[in-house]
Formats: sequence, C-alpha cells, structure tokens
Amino acid sequence: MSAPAIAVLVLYVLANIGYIICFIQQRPAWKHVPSFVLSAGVVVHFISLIVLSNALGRLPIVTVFEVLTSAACLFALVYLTLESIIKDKCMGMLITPVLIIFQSISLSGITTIPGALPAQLTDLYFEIHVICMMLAYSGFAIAFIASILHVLLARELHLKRLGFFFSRIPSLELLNRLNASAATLGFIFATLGMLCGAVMAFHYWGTPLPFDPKFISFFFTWCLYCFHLVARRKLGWQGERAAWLSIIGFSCVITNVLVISIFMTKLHLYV
Amino acid sequence: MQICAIGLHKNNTPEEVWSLAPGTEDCCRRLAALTTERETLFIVSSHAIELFAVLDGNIKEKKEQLKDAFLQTLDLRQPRAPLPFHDLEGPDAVRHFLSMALGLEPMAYDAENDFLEKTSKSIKTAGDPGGVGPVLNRLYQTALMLSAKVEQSGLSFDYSAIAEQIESLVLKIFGSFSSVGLLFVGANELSAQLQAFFAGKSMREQWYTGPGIATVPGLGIIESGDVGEVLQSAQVVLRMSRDCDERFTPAALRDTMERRNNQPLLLVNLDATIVPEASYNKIYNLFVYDLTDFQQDDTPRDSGLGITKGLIEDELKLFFAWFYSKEHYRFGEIIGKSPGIEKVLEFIARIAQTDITVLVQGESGTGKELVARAIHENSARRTKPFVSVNCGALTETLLESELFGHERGAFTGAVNAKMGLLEEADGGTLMLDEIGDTSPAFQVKLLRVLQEGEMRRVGGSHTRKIDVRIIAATNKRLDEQVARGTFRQDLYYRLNVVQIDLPPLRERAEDILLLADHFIATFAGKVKKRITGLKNESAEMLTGYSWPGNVRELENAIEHAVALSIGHTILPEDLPAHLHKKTEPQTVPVADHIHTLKELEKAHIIKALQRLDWDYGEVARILEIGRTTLWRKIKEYDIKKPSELN
Repeated sequence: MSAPAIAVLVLYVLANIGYIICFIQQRPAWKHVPSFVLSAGVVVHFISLIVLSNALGRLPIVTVFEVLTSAACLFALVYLTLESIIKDKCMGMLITPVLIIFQSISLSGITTIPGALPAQLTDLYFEIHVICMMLAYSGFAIAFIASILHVLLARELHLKRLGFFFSRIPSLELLNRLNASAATLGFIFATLGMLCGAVMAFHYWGTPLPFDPKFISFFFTWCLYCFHLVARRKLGWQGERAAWLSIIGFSCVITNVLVISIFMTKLHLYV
Repeated sequence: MQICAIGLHKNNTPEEVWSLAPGTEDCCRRLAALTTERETLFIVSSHAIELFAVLDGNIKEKKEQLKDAFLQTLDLRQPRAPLPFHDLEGPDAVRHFLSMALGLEPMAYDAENDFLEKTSKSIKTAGDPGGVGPVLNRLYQTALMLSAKVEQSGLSFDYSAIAEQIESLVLKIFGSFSSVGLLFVGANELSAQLQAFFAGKSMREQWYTGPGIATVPGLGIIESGDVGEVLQSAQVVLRMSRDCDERFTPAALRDTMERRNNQPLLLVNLDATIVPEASYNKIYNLFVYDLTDFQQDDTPRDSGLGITKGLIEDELKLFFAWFYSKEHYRFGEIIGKSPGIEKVLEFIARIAQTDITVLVQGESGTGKELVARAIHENSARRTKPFVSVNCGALTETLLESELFGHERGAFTGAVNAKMGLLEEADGGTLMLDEIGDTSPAFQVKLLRVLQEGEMRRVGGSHTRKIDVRIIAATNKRLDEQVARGTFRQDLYYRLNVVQIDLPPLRERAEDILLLADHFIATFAGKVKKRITGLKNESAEMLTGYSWPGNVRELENAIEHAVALSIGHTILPEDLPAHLHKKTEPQTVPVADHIHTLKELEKAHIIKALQRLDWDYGEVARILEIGRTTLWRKIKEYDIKKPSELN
C-alpha cells in the first residue's frame, strides 16, 4: 500500500461524487470540476505506475493486482480522451466506479514478487497481449456504459414519460454510435491480443489453442462481440438490441476477469 | 354558391411582395373596380394577404379571374417566381378564416394578430354596394364571437410548445437535424407553424405530401404514391392528417421498419382524430408520439388548442347550415341586410360573450327583445334561462313582487312564498323591457341588484346572491329622461355600459321587402295558403310607407294581407287601408304655405305622439300641458293612432 495509490483512489472517489452531483443537479458552473479531478487522478496514477515500473524493472502487468491498477489508469485515460471528443460528461458517473473498484482491489495486494519470473511473463508478446486486452476491455466497458444509458433513455422515450434521464442523457444516436465504435475497437484489440496470446502459447506450450477455462470463456465473449458487429450490419440490430448485446458481452468480460481469472484458470495463473 | 379563399402567407412569400403590398383601404378600392362578384373581402394583415369571395357559377374559372384580380390589386402582374398561393374552398376556406381570426394560422412568433382588426377595416372600406355581403359579414361576426369566446374562457394556444417538444425528441433520438429527413403527411392548422419552424433547422431533407398549403422553401412536394419510398429514408414523420392512412397501420409500419433495416423512426401523430395504437410500441426502433402526449406536459395551455379547434368545427357546422339554408339575411331571429342592422349584429357579436349590461334603445316594434334574445343565445349563458319582463305593463308593487319574489305573508294575498324572476333567471339573462317606465323607488332597488349582485324578496330579511346578466330595453330616450329627472342618473350609467340603438324600419328600407317575404312565408304557412310574394305595386307601397310602428306594424300589415289575399301574390288592396294614404304630409310643414296655429299645433302633437309611441302621459309632460288638455286636443283635431285606423 503506497501513499500515491491511496491518493489516486481518493481522487477517483471525489471525481465519482462530482460526476454524480453534476448529473443530478446539472449545474453548468460545476461541470468541469469532476473532469479536472479525474485528470489529476490519472496524472498521479500514471506517475506512480512509472515509478513502480522502474522499481520492478518491467511493466506492472504481471500480477492480478498490477493488472488491475494499470487497467484502471489506461481506462481512465481512454475515458478522458473520449470525453473531450464527445463533449458529454454523463458517462463519467458510471466509469469512475469501475476505476474505484479496480484500484481498491489492487491496493489490497500490491507486493513485490520474490524471485525470478517465468520467462513467458517477460516476453514482448506477453506485454502486447496484456496491453491489447486491457484496451479491449476499456472499449467493451465504454460500450457497456453507453448501452446502459441507451436502454434507460429508450425506456423513457417508449413510455413517453420524458423526465429525469431525458434531460440528462445525450441522444440515442450518439449512444448507439459510441456503443458501435467502442465495441468495434474493443473487438479489434481483443483479436490482436488473442493472436499475440496464441503466438506465445505456441512458443511456450506448443499449441496455439491451449485448453484453459479463461481462454474458452474469453473466446465465447469474443464470439458474442463478433455476433454483435454482424447483427448490427446484417440483422438491423441497431440501438436497443445492440445495447443489450454490449451489456451481456461486458457481463461476460467481468465474469472472465474477476471470477475465472482469480479462481479457475491454470495457465493464466498470475503469480 | 361557394366561399373561396385565395391568399399568401408571410412565412412563405418573398419579402419584397410584402413590402410592396398596398394598405387595406387601397386594396379594397382597387379590387372593387376589378371584380363584379357579389361578395369580396380583401384583407392585408401583418401575416397574410387574403381575398375571400362568395362565388357563383363556374367557380374554377372565377377563381382564376380572382387570382388575376388579386395580383393586380397587389401590383404583381409579373411576379419573378410563381407565388405560393393557397386556394381554398368551402369549409376549408371558412376554417382558414376562423383560424386566422383566432391567430392560429399562419403562425408567427413575434407579431400580434391583427387579422380581425384589418377585416373590420376592410368591411368598412368595402362599404355597402358590391362589397361585403351577408355571407362574409356573417363570417366576420362568427369570427368576432369566437374570438371573444376564446378570450373570455382564457383559452390560449401555443403551437411553438409542440414544435419545441418535437424538436427535443428529434434531438434526443437522432442527435442533430443535419442527418434527419422529415416527412409531413397531410396538413392541418398546425402545419404552417411546424413547417416554418422546421424550415429553419437545416435538415438533410424535408418532404410534404398532401393537399392544401405546403409552401415553405426547401420542402419537397411528393405524390402520395412515393410516400412508401420516402418512408425508407426519412427519420421523422409528422402526420398532420389521415392522408395515406394505409401506410401507418401496425403491419405496414412493421414492414417499413424491416425494409429500412430497423433504422430508428419517429412517428408523430398530430391529427387529433388518429387513435393511438398500443401495438406500435412493439415495433422495434419505432418511436410513436400522439398529439395527446404533448398535452400531458402542459395541460391548460395545449388543451386550449383542442377546445378552440372544437369551437371552430362547431361554428363551421352552424355556419354552413346557415349558408346552405338560403336565409342569408338572418341572424338568429333578426332579419336584415341594411348597414344599420349589420352594425347591430356586429355589436351583438362583440358583446355577447361578455357579462356586461346592455341597454337596447329603439322605437317600439323594432325588435328589442329579439336583440336581447340573440345576445343571450350567443353568450355562455345560453343553457340558462332567458327571462323577459315588461316593466311598463305592471304596477310598481306588482312589478316588485314579480321581480324580487316575496315571502309568505309579505302582503295581503301573499299566501305562499314566491320566487322572483331575478332568481328564476339566476345564471342566465334578464331582459327588462320598458325600463323607462319604472318608478324612482323601483329604480333604486334595481340599482342595488346591479351594484351588489344581490337581492331581497319582498318581506324577506335574507339577501340572496344572484348572477344575472341584465339587458334593459326602452323605446324612450333615457338620456332625456335623466335630464328631466324622471330616470335616475346612477341607474342610467349602470345600464348604459353598452348601448345598442336599433334603427327604425324607415331607416332600413332595404330590409322591408326581406322582412315582408319572411312574414308572408310565416303567415301563409300558418293559414295554409300558397302565396309566393308581393305584387310590384304592393312592394312599392310597402317601401314607400314610413312604418311608425316599425317591424311589428309591418308584421301586422302582412298578416292582414295574407288573411285577405285570394291569389298567389299579395295585391295592394289586400294591405291595410292606412297604407294607401300618403302618410305624414301634415307633419312636414311645407315652406311656401303659411299654416294656421291650429294646423301647426296639430302637426306638432302628432309628431310628439309618434315619436313617443303614443304615450299620452309622456307627451303631455313634454309639451308641458295637462293630460286632459292633450286628450281634448286629440279629440278636437281628430288625431288617431295608426292601429286604430284599421
């Protein structure tokens, strides 16, 4: 447990509170405050990660705790970029809790690993594999959050009770587009990550498709997103149906990361 | 015969047309020189230039001529581009007029609605000959009445709220207008405003299908057959009417959605007659909104719109019932086309909706009660009683107990408590006829009712609140009575909030034959004779007579004639004898003849008697002689009341 990591967590919590207040009260004067707080958190987080990498002599992406904190930082960065592109802040309220959860779990167990690491965990392919996967998860998470907002807004529109969400959530068209592009980008990175993983697996275990619960569950998730992209084009599953696909897809991702990674996998066992 | 409306709306006409347009008066004069149609009305208001006309015969051809005249009137013989004329006929034209009068159309967000004001100006300028006739006059009166009604009931309507709500929906679903294709299906009174509203939104594309006014720049007109195709690329569909109904059944929409690959579609039903279908909600990515959904947010404002539209439709029905009834010179029971009567009718239309007290002045037999009844029938009180009481016919005490009622035992003979006419008329209208004949004591009591809105029964101790509209009528000049002190000044001012002066029949010569025809039809029907009308000589005789007894005298004369007549037309000899005499030579002193004092006295007495409707008491007072002296002189000069002559 390090002081900068705690500071980062506190900044993320403050940003989250700020985003929620801004969403509910819609005070224009305050609207940039949470973004600033979040940016500050990301800067501190990034610097602390560089310091950590220096101390470790490698990227902090080996243990589950390292991965979580790195993922949180990357995710926050991706979100801030997106926020500056779409000029809408209402997703921040739902993104920051993810950062908080990742950072909290990671805080509970960052320790230095005694002894040398297995060779595969310092491989370049491994590093690309992990970074691609983290980017893919960020994309899926953003697709997921856009989808939740989409479902909430579409519900109000269909029930013709234009109230709370109607005045706060951006347009269905934007959410649909976000869902589509985020899911597509996520899918591309996931594919790249899987290819790197396969190369690595072939190199170390002699087969590109090792039998592993994490791999199988992720392959299923990958198929789901694949279907998502095809259904959008071929079946006309625009809007709400695509939103539900993203919600289901991201639920699979969460199960994959939190349950299977930690309890069931053997090959993907973090040290 | 048909009513037509040709016109231009500001929101779709090039600005230079507007700046060049001459004023209402000039236009009316120019148009009068150009057309020979029976009724035309040219109105230049701040939002629209309209020409209304009643046409006969080949309407199509005549409309073309009118359009020409319209352009000439505006000095627009060769416009640079074809102007977006709207050209309406029948109910559409009338609805258009009424909507414009109420400010529903064409919509402008900033300027005030001056349409009625300009209409009134045009009617005045057009004058009597060849200008505005009964139909357009009636239309104007209907509009006045409606507008007063809308104002009185505090109804207000603002389509911009609906337009803004649609805008926010479009933005919520499609993000921006730039990618949106908008289709207007059909037209209704919302169209003009919505089209103008969305014209300024730089959309990808806008289409319109349907009849009527669709003349906003950038609005692509499509045939109803192409609607299916457009539906595949449109994002927003505004259904203004039930046009192309078959395209919007749930099955057809499901098919459309499939063909457009489930791209989201916003369908807004803005015709109140379209019933919301629950099964629309099951269609994927289809968002359906109805007019009622927009009214939820702001019920009082938008329901005003609905009520107003209902009022217009009701008036339309009444108007066309009257229009096709060939009784074009009738307004309720009042018949006439003379300027004097038109003025009275306009007055009635203006004040009927209010609760103000009205004083109707007019000679005996001019139809004061009909006016009072017309006011009542056109007011919000029409479902409540109309009670009329002749104050001159009853003694003071009797009048008091009639009007206020009495408690049991209030006076000898008051065995039971009795409700007064004031209470009976509660919520409705009470007409006090011959108000000038009441005693000062009674006038005080009446004043109290008018001022406090409460009354007390004779012999009662309990005051009751009453809500009665008072219409007072008199055949005397109340201001003169006030000057003489026989009528209380404060009561006079209370009653004389609005005064309607009914013209005597001799001043409405053009109505005499109209009325005569009406009475002939009535009485002939009653006695089951087939009488088609008056023989020319009889008509001349009727128009030549001075009718001191006014319409009532005419009515009696015709009844007399109908009873006597044997043929199909009324001959001069069927008419009462006194019509044959040249009337009033004695009352008009001839300049070159020097009269004796007796002659002058006789003429003067006759004049006074005629003016005061043979009220001997009043005449005696005015001539400052005793009643008996007057009586003696009447005997001496052998002066006879016209009704005693036959």
